[in-house]
Amino acid sequence: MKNTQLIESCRKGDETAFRSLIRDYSDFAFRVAFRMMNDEEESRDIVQESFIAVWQKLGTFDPDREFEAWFYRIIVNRCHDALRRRNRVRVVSLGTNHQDALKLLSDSDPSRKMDNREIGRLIRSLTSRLSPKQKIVFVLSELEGLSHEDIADVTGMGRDSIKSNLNHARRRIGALIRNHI
Amino acid sequence: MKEKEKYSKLIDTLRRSTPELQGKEGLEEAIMESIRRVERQRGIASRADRILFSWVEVSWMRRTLSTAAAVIIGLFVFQQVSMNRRINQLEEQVVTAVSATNVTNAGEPAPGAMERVLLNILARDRVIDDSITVSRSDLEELLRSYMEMSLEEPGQIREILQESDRSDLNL
Repeated sequence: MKNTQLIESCRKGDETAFRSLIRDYSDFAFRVAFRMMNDEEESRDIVQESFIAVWQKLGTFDPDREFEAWFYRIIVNRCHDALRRRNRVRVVSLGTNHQDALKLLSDSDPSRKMDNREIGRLIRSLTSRLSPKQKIVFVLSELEGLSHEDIADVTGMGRDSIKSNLNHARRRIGALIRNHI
Repeated sequence: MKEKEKYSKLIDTLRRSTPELQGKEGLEEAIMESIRRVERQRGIASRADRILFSWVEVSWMRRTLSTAAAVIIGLFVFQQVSMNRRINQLEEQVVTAVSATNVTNAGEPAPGAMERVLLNILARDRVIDDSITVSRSDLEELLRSYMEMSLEEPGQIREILQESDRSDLNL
């Protein structure tokens, strides 16, 4: 079923169509959520909540818009809320482990792919000093490859704010690399 | 390796390494179950709404209830006005009874209670022709003196009142 037809069927409450939508977009949703949250359980929860929100809000979705961009926004909003909650209940860590980064840099095989745990640990170690906004902008720009315009569309942030947050993120990660890796 | 090179290598590796979703079918079922649960809860809430409030959609029911509400408010206002009028009447009767008691009865009144009654009546905000405003302490002093005099020299009070009646007539 074409995407637009699928979305239209879902808007009419077709459960089969919605299951098909879940199968088509769950990998995408998990990838975005995991890169933000760096934890499998939390990422699955975010994916679940995001799809429930999609079901509830499909009535308000403008079919002329790109579904992916709209879905991106839902996922990123949930990740942002979760990151802020996590920051409020911050556990004081005794020191961030940069072993994964060191191992990766010294690895002679450039095409090696990492598993979820390694990816999560590496992103967490690089972004441990970033605020939720900086982390979101960093992930969307550097890992997801979105343009500033797309990031503005997804996050609702202004272009200047995006540039500023991205610069901060790069500087902090650069300092981390300089001092620890 | 320079800092920039390290950064680029790390980012490239992270870009290439896509997180993999495990247990897709389980997730799909969990999502559908959550949606059904949310729909069920919404269904219960809307059913409760319908049971409790669907009657407001009946036009004659709405008109009847609006009329009843207006009547009840009117009755309430009428009741308040009647009660206020009655209270005013009773206060006037108390003043009359107290003045009559002071002039004709030379026995011992209960100063505390009488003072309080007179203070409440006189200190009340009433618009009376040729009224004056006095402070509460002056009024208390006046009443205390009046009470003492009425107990010790009742004759003198009668003379003062007669004197005051005579000067009113002359006016």
